[in-house]
Amino acid sequence: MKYRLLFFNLFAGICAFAQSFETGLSYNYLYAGQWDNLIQTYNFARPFLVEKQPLLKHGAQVYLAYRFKSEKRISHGIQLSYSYFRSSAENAGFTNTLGFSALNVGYILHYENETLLKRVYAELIVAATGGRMQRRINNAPFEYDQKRAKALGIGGNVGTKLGYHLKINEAVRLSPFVLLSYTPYFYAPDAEVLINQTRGLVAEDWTGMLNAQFGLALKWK
Amino acid sequence: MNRRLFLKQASLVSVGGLLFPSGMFSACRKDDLFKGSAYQGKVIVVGAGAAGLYAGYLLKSKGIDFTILEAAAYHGGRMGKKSGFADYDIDTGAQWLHGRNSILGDLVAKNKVATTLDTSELSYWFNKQIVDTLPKDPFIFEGKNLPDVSFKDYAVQLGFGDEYNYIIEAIAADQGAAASQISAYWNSKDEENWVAGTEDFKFSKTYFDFIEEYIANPVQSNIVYNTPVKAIDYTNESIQLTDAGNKVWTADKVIVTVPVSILKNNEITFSPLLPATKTEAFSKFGMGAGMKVFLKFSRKFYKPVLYGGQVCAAYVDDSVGKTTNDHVLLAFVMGTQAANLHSLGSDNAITDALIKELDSIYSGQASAAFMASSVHDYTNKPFIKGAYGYSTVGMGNAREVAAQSVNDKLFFAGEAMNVSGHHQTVHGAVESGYKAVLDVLSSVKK
Ligand SMILES: Cc1cc2nc3c(=O)[nH]c(=O)nc-3n(C[C@H](O)[C@H](O)[C@H](O)COP(=O)(O)OP(=O)(O)OC[C@H]3O[C@@H](n4cnc5c(N)ncnc54)[C@H](O)[C@@H]3O)c2cc1C
Repeated sequence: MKYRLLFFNLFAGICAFAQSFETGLSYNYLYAGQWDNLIQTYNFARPFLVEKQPLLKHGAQVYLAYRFKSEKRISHGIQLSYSYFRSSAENAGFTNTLGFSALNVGYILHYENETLLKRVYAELIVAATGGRMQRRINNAPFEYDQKRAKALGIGGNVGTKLGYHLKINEAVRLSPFVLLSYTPYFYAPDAEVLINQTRGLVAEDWTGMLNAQFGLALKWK
Repeated sequence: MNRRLFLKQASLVSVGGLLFPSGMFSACRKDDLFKGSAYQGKVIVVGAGAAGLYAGYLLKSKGIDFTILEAAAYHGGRMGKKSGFADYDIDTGAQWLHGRNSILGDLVAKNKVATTLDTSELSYWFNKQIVDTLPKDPFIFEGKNLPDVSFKDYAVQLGFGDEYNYIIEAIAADQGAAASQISAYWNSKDEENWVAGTEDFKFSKTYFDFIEEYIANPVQSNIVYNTPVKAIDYTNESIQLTDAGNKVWTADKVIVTVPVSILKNNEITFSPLLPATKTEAFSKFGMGAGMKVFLKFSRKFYKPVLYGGQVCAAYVDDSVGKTTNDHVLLAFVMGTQAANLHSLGSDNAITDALIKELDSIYSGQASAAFMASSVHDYTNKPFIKGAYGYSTVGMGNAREVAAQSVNDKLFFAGEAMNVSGHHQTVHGAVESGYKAVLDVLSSVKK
């Protein structure tokens, strides 16, 4: 009975802040094992580059989300996000820059419970990911065979977000959040071609990516 | 360590990292492999071609004790240059940087080494005429699902008549092979992984000068010349290498970079014997005859590139990309044609055969304008014995097996051991060289 009550309390109550539009910006930390391995191999194999290529770790994400009106503590919505990561190494005559951008289109399951934890909300985000990695040498896109070098890829993304509402006025809230997500970037056949200029020598065609984000969202009722 | 094992370990590291990303929030994750863990053992590299030189260059940069044992009196292997033949130095071995998307492409870009994109137009000697296009496109050896038959048989299957024989021969020659021996299927599989790009670049100086300046010079003091390794005993922890003068060298790890022809011919004996799968893999490689003959003329009467000769399938204007007043035509001869020329027995006889063919193509202009020739026959070179390793019919995974290390003691590199599509090239040899060093250090880390 106690559990049933708790369940009822958790899921059946009135949602305090349903139907909203939001946008956010976050710092995005990336951990992609295969790519780390590729960049490490790139550095290992090229002693003529004294400054080592940093691992592709730091980036930013912006997103737009819309949450549908709901009378429940659970609501749902859609989200579009764009992330960009960059790694650059400056060597005499050779500045090598890797840039990775990812676009996620996803579904949000939003939960908040004013009675249980005031102002706190949690989200589960499931998204499809499309990404593109590019290389620049000396600040110009790297081209060969008269084509710009790029590595495209697709994957899925699942993340959990925890946020806190700060009320600015009746309609607007500011919301710091943390988000942890995992992206099985299951098809990225040219990442090795772009990073290490080989295929199948040191990495597989996929990578798992773990993201940790810290950001701030602005929400409108 | 073989590639599969390496990938498995790399992905385990990745998966482990996903579950327990220990370094995730630390600002200073390692951006290099094996950083700060300089190997204390001794490495011997056998062979000072592009693969061995790059392996040495890398070992030196990591502060690892190594020696390169080279059979010949010079380094470079299938690379070299000759001064004095023309008013520019000629590349007696490798000459084109094939594509820019490679480690050597980066080295060229970083040092702003002068290169020229070779845009020479291709013509054909077809039905006793010089033509710029052919009735049928002969470049049929790329793509998926080709049969495991020779280039020659595949061309016949697709209805190419005898008139295309020497055109197909020229395409096979590009792979260092005779059209009757190279596999359409396995060659296309190899090519699938080619990522360097399709453009060819020529060095304003020579390819050899480039390798010399940036890779060979830093390791020259570690090379011991005139030291053909005859036997490698890896029974014990300390590996013993015996050279032709019976001098014994010891090492903890050995990187063998000799041409696959040397391994096929068992010119180095291993004890214990190498695994049978490995020797069988060596035997599946083709390594045909190959030569470059430079012909100097008083004037230019020839096409930039002509495919289809019966004596030599590919004639190329060598002065493209050079600052020169001379007229040098390169006869790039591979496979059966190179074997035929080789069997003539002398440089003069080889030159005469080529001039005779050129006369028949260019209406007697060759002999009228001929000044000198320079023959570079790789089949003759005792420590090379051919052009480069190609995939024969029935090749299977021989290249991967051949490239595998043995007991974490013997590591194999060299153009033929490049398992990622860049074999038969200098940049491919270089890649195999760094992969071998990577495997050496991974084997220590285990
Ligand atoms: C005619 C020709 C033209 C070519 N053109 C091009 C080109 O334009 N572009 C390109 O990218 N590639 C080209 N190549 C291919 C390229 O030259 C080779 O792929 C590359 O140089 C091979 O390097 P390697 O280190 O694997 O072998 P090698 O250069 O053959 O080096 C192996 C070394 O091992 C030594 N050795 C052999 N036996 C022993 C022993 N028992 N003990 C000690 N040392 C030993 C040899 O003397 C040699 O120095 C060409 C090759 C040929 C033959």
